[in-house]
Amino acid sequence: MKLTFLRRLFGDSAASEPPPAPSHRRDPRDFETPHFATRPAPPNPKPVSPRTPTPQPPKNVMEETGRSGDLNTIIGKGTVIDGTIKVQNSMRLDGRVTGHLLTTDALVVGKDGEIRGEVRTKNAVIGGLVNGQIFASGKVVLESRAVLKGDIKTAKLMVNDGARFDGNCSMSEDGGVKALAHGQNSAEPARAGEFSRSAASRR
Amino acid sequence: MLTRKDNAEAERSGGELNTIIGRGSVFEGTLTVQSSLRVDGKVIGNVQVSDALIVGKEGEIDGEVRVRNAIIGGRVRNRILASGKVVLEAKSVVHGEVKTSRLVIDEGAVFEGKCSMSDDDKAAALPENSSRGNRPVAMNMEVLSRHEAAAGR
Repeated sequence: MKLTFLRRLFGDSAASEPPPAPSHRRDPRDFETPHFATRPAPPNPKPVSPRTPTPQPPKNVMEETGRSGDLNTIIGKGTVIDGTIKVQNSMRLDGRVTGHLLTTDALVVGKDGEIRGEVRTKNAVIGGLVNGQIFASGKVVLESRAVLKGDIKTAKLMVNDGARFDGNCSMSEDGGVKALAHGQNSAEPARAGEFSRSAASRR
Repeated sequence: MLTRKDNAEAERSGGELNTIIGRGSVFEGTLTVQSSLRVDGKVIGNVQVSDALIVGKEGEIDGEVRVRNAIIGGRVRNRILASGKVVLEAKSVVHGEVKTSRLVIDEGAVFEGKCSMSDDDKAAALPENSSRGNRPVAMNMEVLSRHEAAAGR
């Protein structure tokens, strides 16, 4: 009995010691760290110079949201895009996009970023303005300066104080939202009809 | 998930905790509370609170809620109209409409329904029996102007 006690004490504790570290790293509160939009001194400050066309996002954001993918595409401040963008892995937007935006992994919208149209992604961190619908298979985070006018369909939602959200939110388990699959070129929205209808009824 | 800290928060935000619907209690009808209310039981009907509403993690409200600030840890169905802030805690489940000027949703919360934070909705959300009008209004104006500045349009 003493032996089992010791085994439990040492054997298990030795075995179970490493896991808490990664699980702690994934602590949801850590997710709040990249308050790059509001905090006066963020841990990895975004380059503020407007001349920098491709500002690096705070590293934390990408680590937390796009674990498996790298930051593939950056739309810099001042850039205006009209049309559909399909991105493998992750994307950061500081410019303006009118049209559809599809990523296989994370989408980070900086505080100057603006989207008018539909977003289909895995995880979305919104710091700027979105006018349209967001379909996310993972998590949507609205940072404190985010303004969202439109509907959200997601599995997880976080809204920080100060964010504005006008629209419908759907978080049902059978959401069935699919991010743009890796290597998939024609990503036709699978369940877009559902939202279009609700959006139409509001207008 | 709601602890003494949350109650203290409610007290700080204006009024003391006036009414508590305890765990296991079921209330049916219209509930009007001056200052703050905490619900750990079940309320079926409309709730009007001049200050803060706290719904404990086992609390449940089925009806229209008019309040200044709401901290939801449990379940709310139907509608929340808040002139101040609505916080959906990690284990909360909200089905229905939320009208508020400030919204915080913690990770893990489930929100199904419509959210409106536009300016014209705020007047409707103000509790009619708000006894101390000065502070919330000032707060709302500040929030409003900040939102307008942020929207920049």
